[in-house]
Amino acid sequence: MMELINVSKRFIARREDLLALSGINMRVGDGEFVCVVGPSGCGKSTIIRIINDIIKPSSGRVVVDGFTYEKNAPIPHKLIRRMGFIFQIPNLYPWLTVRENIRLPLDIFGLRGQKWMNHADFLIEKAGLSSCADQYPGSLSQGMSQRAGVVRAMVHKPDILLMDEPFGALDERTRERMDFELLDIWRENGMSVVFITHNIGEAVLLAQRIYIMATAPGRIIDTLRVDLKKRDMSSFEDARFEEYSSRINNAIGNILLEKAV
Amino acid sequence: MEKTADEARTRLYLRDAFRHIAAQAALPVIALALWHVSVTWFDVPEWQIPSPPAIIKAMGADFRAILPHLITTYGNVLVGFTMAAAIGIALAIAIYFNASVGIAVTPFINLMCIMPLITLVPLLMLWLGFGSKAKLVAVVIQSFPIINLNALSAFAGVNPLRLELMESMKATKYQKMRCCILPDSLPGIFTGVKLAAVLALTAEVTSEITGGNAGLGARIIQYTQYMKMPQAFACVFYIAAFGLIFYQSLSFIERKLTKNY
Repeated sequence: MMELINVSKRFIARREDLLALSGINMRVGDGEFVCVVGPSGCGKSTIIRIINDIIKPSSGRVVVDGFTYEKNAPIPHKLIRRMGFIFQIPNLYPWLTVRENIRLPLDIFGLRGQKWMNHADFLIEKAGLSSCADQYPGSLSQGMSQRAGVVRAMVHKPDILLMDEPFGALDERTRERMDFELLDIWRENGMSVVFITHNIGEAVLLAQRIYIMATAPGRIIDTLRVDLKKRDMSSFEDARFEEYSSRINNAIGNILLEKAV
Repeated sequence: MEKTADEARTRLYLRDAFRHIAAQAALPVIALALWHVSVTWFDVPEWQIPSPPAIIKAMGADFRAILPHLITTYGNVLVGFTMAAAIGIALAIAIYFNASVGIAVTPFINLMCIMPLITLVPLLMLWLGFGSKAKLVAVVIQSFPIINLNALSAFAGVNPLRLELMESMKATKYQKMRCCILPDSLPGIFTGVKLAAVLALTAEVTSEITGGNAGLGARIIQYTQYMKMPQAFACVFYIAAFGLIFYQSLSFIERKLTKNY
């Protein structure tokens, strides 16, 4: 289980400091799919960077399976190995082939041997990337590149996936397809997922729990448990889908309205 | 059908290559033609300005006399440049691993960039003699700072998102350098390397002109003193040809190494 307890982040700048996150309390259960939704600039991405220890919190702490890391405490390597980070853009290295990009975490985490190479090849085939595995990322479509980015984050068998608006740059149809593929992967592997998005429909479709955020400072204004009968194309017809979407819309809308007044 | 497409592609490639070469050769050919017409028309004596055919003839006829000097100049430039590239890049990597090294050596590197080489050459010759040693040191002093500064600036300008991928896996400094920083910096490093190629040749010829009997620079001085202008110009042409081929070869290697960027 993963918990963020009273996490705040203040970015120190030359002219003025920016309080990006204030008093964030969040819980992600084992195998749970959690979405964080909110307008641009509310600190959604900062949250998963704090979980992944890319950014240190200014105060508060993160607890993963009983291990605590905070402002000055280094995170153990084995905990990082349990996480996979997926970026907003595919972020593939252009000097490596798709296969080499996907194998990169194995190199970094020191996972050598044929077993791991075979596992990478298995994921490449499963993701439909076999035909372009030995090409360079420049020749891939945006969708295929992002697919490779997802596979790369999973190659070292993490049990926590941190996804920073991974399908935000894709067209509507490709994004929908990728969402359903992600749900299949999640069901199969039972990983915990923290998925950042500003797309309310996407959050309702994917998440079991949604944290709704507001800006200035970035904070959680509401939490929503999502209980859809099914998570497939028929979900869009589900009355509760609409109900959840409007609840999130209203929560974000009310805050924006308050700010305007 | 496929063969026809291949043939069409080859034809297009050849046509583009021919256009490229023709466009690049046009200006030098026109310049040489104008030069030839001018010296013939105005009846300029050969000891003042020889005509291009006289120079080309001297390049062939005096080749055996020029050859040892040609080997000295080309050899010193290649050896000195290779040493400069190795020192410049190795020092940049050392500075990346230990900032104190950077604080200590950067003022000296900046000084070497600013200091006109011509002021150092007589001193180098006093200490190291008129042989190749002083010239090699001059080439290294002149060309390694520019490689070092460009490498450092390329390291500092690495794409932050690519670096963040390394951070997300808690890669070690060595892994970051090997997998991300060095490959990402390759275009920047090559900017310095190509500039250094020009500076290395300038340093070598300047040193040869300043003192000693070996090298094309020294031959230019001797031929000029004996009014053997076609031979002096032949040496200039050999220097120019080497500089051009050297620079183009480095550009070619750069294009090959960074073709997927």
